[in-house]
Amino acid sequence: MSNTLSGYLKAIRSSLEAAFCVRNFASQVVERHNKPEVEARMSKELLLQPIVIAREKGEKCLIEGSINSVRISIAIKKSDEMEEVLVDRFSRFLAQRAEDFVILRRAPVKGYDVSFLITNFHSEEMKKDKLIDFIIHFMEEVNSEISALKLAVNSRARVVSGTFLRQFV
Amino acid sequence: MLLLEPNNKVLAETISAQLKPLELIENDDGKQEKAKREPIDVRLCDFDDVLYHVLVSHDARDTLMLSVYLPCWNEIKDRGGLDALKEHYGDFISSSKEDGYDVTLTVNLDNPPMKPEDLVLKLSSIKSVLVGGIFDRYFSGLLSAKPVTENFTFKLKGDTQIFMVPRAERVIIVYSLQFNDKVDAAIAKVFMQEFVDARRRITSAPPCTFSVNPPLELKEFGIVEPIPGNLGFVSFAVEKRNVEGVRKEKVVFVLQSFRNYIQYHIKCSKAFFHSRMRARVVSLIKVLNRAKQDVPAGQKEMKTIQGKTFKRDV
Repeated sequence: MSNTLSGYLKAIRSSLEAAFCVRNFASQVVERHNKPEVEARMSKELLLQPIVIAREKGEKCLIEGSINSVRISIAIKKSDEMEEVLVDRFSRFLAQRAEDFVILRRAPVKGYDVSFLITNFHSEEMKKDKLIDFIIHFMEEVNSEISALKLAVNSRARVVSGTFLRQFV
Repeated sequence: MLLLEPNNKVLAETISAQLKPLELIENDDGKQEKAKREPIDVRLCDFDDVLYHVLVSHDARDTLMLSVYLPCWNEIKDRGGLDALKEHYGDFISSSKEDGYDVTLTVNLDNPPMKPEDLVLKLSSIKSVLVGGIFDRYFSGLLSAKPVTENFTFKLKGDTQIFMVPRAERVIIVYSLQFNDKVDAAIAKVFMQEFVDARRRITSAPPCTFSVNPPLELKEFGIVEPIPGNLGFVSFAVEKRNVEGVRKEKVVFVLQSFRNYIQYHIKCSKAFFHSRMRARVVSLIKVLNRAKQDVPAGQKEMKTIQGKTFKRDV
């Protein structure tokens, strides 16, 4: 199980290293503006081909590059109703704190759970390889967090039902 | 705290504050006399939309009046509610019922009939005793070999309906649960499935089932299709050996507060999610900050109050 995860993360890491060549580029369309081109999408020649790396149907990663910004969207695996609810809660929790995270996008791209937007200004402030490390680390952390929360609910349920039924014994 | 307590803490505190012995103060003539009790008028609410009204009136400062309103009282009073009221609170029943409430008790504060702590506990558990009265009726019937054969259903609250189906040697109690929130419903489903599984580990517990389709017992009430908007039906088959002796009181309490128990633990789970997510976010931000560039060793960029930026050698 962890074999496919490490392969998945390695593929994402190498794709990110390739897509993550950003430089400052002022907007061609509007004078004196500097927009992230991957969000504005106004000039086709500035955008790179988007790639999707999928581990399975519900777990994939979309990497869209452009001349001055990269947008990374992640879909987290949801195998049952409880996980769906947890992932939804967690991604909303993160999105509300997007300001603290700097590189997080406030709303995820449609079809995905979390989106990051990294511009040339971020890459001037932070080291490129450390940023990529962070994204990979983030994906591992989110997976382990969701499974830990699910386990906590299951163990709480066991204790709750045990105490209740013991009253009858 | 895993199990809920049978009494209402706020009500207990209100009543015990009134039962405290009055202290001696000096009055205007310089003599010692007992302080006068302050009149109070408190309105409280409890689980299952129950309302209380505690009154120590200005004119009668030595009596405390406690009124209780239960939304399901009209359905349960003839089937064990009034019996439970008379058995536990017979001495306190007031002759005049307060408007808008179902039961009114009066307590003499200066000469309480029993120890203050016991009285407080007794009075603040009034809701669980009254609602438990209907469960008690079925279980006493089981124990005394004169079983109650009536099938009965009542709505404990807007979203919980309880069905009681007596059978040979046991009483089957079915709860129909409704949760409006998606997250609550998902967590409750996990809890219900664990209830069914727990029966395997604790062998002498009553058999417990959970399903979206109504169990066969509910055919008697005419319910054969699953009710839309419902989470499902959970049923317990309580046998004679589950309610023998001291267990009856525990069982009655735990069954009448089943929905509140589940709701309490759902809320605890949600609070746990939040604290864990917060901790996780803090650790992720720390990792992100490691990616920030170090300040170059030679120079440090600084700003003056007026906003001019300059570089200073470090």
